[in-house]
Amino acid sequence: MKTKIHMPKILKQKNFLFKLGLCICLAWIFIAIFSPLIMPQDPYAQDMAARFQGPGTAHWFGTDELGRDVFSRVLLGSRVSISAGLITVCITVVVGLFYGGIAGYIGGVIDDIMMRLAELVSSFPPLILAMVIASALGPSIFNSVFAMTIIWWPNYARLMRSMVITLKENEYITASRTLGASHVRILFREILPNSIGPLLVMATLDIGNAILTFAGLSFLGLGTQPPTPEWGSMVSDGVSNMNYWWISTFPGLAIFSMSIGANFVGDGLRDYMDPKLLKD
Amino acid sequence: MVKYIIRRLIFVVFLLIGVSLLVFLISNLVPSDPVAANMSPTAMSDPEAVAVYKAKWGLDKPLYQQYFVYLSNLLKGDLGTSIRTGNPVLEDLKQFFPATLELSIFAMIIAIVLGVLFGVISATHRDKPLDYIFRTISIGGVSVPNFWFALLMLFLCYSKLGIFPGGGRLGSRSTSPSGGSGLYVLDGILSGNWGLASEAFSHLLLPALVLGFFTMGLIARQTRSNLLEVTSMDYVRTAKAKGLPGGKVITRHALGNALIPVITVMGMGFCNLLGGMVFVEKIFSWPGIGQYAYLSATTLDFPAICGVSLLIAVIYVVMNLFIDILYGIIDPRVRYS
Amino acid sequence: MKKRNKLIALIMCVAMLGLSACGGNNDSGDSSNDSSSDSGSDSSGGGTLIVGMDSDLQTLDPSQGYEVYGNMIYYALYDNLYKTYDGSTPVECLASGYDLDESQTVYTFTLKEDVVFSSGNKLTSKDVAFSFNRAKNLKSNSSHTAAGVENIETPDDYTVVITLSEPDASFLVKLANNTFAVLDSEVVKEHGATDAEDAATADTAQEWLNQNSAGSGAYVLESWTQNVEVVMNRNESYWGEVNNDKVICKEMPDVNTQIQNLIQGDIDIALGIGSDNASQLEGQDGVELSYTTGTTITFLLMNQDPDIGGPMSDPKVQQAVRYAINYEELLEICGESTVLPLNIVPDGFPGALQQDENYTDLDKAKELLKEAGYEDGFEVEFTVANFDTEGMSWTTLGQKIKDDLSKIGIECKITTSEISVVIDSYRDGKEQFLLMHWHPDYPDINNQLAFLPGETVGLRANWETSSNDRIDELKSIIMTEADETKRSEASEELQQVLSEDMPYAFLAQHAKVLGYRSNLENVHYYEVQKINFQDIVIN
Repeated sequence: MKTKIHMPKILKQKNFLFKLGLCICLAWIFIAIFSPLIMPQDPYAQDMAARFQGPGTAHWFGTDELGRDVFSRVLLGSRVSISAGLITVCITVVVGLFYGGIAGYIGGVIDDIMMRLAELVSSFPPLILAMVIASALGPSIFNSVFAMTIIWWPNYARLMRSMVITLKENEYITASRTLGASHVRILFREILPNSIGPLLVMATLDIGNAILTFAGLSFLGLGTQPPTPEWGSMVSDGVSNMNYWWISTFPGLAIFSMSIGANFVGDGLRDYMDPKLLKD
Repeated sequence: MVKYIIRRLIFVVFLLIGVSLLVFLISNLVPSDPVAANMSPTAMSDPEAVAVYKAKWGLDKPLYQQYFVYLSNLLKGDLGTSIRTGNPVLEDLKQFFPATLELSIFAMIIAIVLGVLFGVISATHRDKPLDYIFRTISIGGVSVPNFWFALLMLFLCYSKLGIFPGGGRLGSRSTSPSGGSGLYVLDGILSGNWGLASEAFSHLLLPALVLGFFTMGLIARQTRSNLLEVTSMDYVRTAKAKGLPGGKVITRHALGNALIPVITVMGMGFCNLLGGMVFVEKIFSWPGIGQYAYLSATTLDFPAICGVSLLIAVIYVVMNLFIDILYGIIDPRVRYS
Repeated sequence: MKKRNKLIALIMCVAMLGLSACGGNNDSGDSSNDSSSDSGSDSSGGGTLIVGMDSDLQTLDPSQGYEVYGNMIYYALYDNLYKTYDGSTPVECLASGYDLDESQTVYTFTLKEDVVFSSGNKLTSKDVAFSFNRAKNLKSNSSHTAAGVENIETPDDYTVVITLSEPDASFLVKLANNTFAVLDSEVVKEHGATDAEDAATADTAQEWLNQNSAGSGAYVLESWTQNVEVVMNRNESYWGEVNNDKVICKEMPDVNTQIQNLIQGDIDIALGIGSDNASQLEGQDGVELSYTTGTTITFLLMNQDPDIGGPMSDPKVQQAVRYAINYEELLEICGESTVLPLNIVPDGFPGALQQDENYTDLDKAKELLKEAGYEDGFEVEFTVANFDTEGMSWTTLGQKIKDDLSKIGIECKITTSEISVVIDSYRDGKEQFLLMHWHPDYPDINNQLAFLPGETVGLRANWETSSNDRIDELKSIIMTEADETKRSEASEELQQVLSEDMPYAFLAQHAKVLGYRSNLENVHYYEVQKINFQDIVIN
């Protein structure tokens, strides 16, 4: 039995979700950059008389335990949350790229050792490692990003390495070698451009994850320092006051929407690329 | 095949030593003193009491000696004693692990069942409304911050709607049963104590759902993309050309092959579960490894941190090995690579 | 085929919801059944009390315990010679009287007769002597409380003579500490306890004591599952009154979970609620809130050492900070029953004075900064650990202080940390500017003298000696004077002197909030044991 659902034309477009995701991401990035100009109130201004107010005309998202405007804090919070996620992913990609590329290209025992080392790092329970590092070094944005990069680079290293290994055997590479091209030239000219695609897909999909993990660390008290607004620590602030649901919910929705947007984009990118290339 | 397994097992041993060394190093680079963290202020002013405490935990020896003592104990099966709880770490782990195991198993079941289901529906209705709905749910699963999701679910389903119980493995008026495996549902069923089994089950549902949500998303997406890929393959097209109805093609020919890579994702997903454990256990008052890990990490209790990390690393590695073997059995092509 | 898939999915969803609904209903059904059957059959007082807490209990051996919630359990399972409910007044428990000799170091206690342990053994002086000697020789976390005890004699079954190494005005109150709990010596000796000099290494009873109680208290321990629950049953041979049958203390580390469970009635008392989050329970059906002023004080520490403290080591800056804090708003954040102490003496201790709410004077503060040479203000690192006092989050307080200080030009950069890391640095005197709290080990003003120069907390602020000799004079009066009036006067004067000259800014003496169901009676918060379970009546 087939029911005819009348969908508006826009939804029928093939990569609707991709475009939706892109819009969400761009909107948040815009907000992150321009938040000081857009936010209606000072996100740091405390107002004892206005504590714990619900969403209303004066404060669209309500106020928190110190009377600060939640809406403005969510807007400003985008800066830390999104940039932490982006920076983590960028660093991880670069590190993983070089590590995996070199390991895969050289091959042999060195490859074995390097990959075993990577496996060692990735076997370590990620959250525990992050908690220990952050507890040990002191909570700060830098230390949390540092902890996250340590956990994640092996994934990219492994991906890069497997691609390099497959590509290495390609005929045009052997041809280049016979023509006398140096290893460095081959790595940069031939291998890199062909492997960037899947790496990019993985990175985009990971941005959402990075934002989530960073928010999680902040939730545990290991990331940003108060009173800097950041989505994860704002959720944490509101935990013991769940009956004032707006304090936790709006930052949570922000994390969710940014993450889902990044995932839609990544998904779309992956659909666009030939799925066969992605097989390990 | 056997050689492969042996090689991997040897590697596991080195891996565990590596993990313990890593934890030990980090914990000792830390600018904090477990004596200060765990002794009362007035007790600390008594040098005798401090000396007794230090001797008890071996804190008076140089660093490398401490590590070797730890390592040699480890090989004997002694994981040291937790500075925070005062119990042998092995005992602590034995106490807390079953709770986490039970929760993980349930979460995985929910994740696999729902994940495969959603993935199949998505793939078979490609680019139609159902696809969008389930794709959004799956992507939602991977995008939602699990700590917030747990809070929201607890608040909505327990406080506001009252349809789920509010945390803990059993009701607040029930006391923990002793003995048995520690997996209450299993214990309940095996001993015929249906009350216990059903109470434990009802308490498992919400945290398992929250925990498994992320993995469900992963599995759904992987199932969908693999299924799509496989259905475009020749043998499926042949089957369709032969006139077999679409649904049968999917279940008999395509699904089996499509599920192979999904197994790897399940492995990844399981390990992700161990990550989300910390938040979910905290919020649902679940006395498991996640909570233990959090408390150990933040009080810089090295023996406990080492113990938990080793446990999780072992699980991770065993899981990977198991999946690799499974993969090797199912897909003969892999075996010979 | 597609239809079948959908059908299967639908059935599964319904099945799961159905099962969970059954389970969920069972749970709430159970609890409501429980209370209704209680009111039906209850005539002598009965029922089970469920308490939600976040305790991190390490041991149930009272001679070794040093924990915030320790006494809640120890007082329920064991008796002492004296107990205390307000934290500073000793109340006779096992002792029916005492004599003190002229040197003020020899106490002769008379024990109540006819007190019987839960095992059936009679409680006599040998049990007291054994327990005290064991506590002292175990050299555990709590042994220092017993440090002043030099000798214990037991001339007969119901007399105990204790000799101290020096006079101690607070000895009776110290006896109320769990270190001095009286254990059934015969029973615990069977399980490896010893009170000999080498008890620190020879005693093996702790493991048994963690699962069993050997006391004369209102309850008997049924079980303890660490991080899960403590279960205690009424002691049938108890010499006093017990108004309920069973107490289950459930570990709920998340405050939010405690709150939601309290609202739903799944727990009867929630211990973890703080003033931070109590407001959402006001007006809630079936829930009552009680506010009791505690003895824990939060304060700001400013390092006197110019190398570490920088601008904060300047007394003018310190006074400016004290003028800049908005005490009125501070009171509001901290909630009902919070007290603003003038400085080191909490309300309820001899001679306690309070801070004027309107003490804040931004102009004076800015003037002082100018005199100190910081007209344009300065930046400072402000350490605020991830911790709380009676549920009042330090990060909330820290952000408020930062806001207040920014109004006079001091820009604080908040650095959070885990408490274990901060404590270490604080004890080493390395913190520049820090938020901390102080909880008296025992409820006497002598404990608070730790803030003075050269004493425990003073050293942590690198306050080694003061230019003001009067401080030392007042200190010795307070420590040795037996006359309470003279002590109070000295205490008051000391506070006045300190208020202009100390490297601290005192914030608040925090209130403890207790949330409980309306069908309970006699629920009171006590500083030492939190809740006296045996009093509570469940309707």
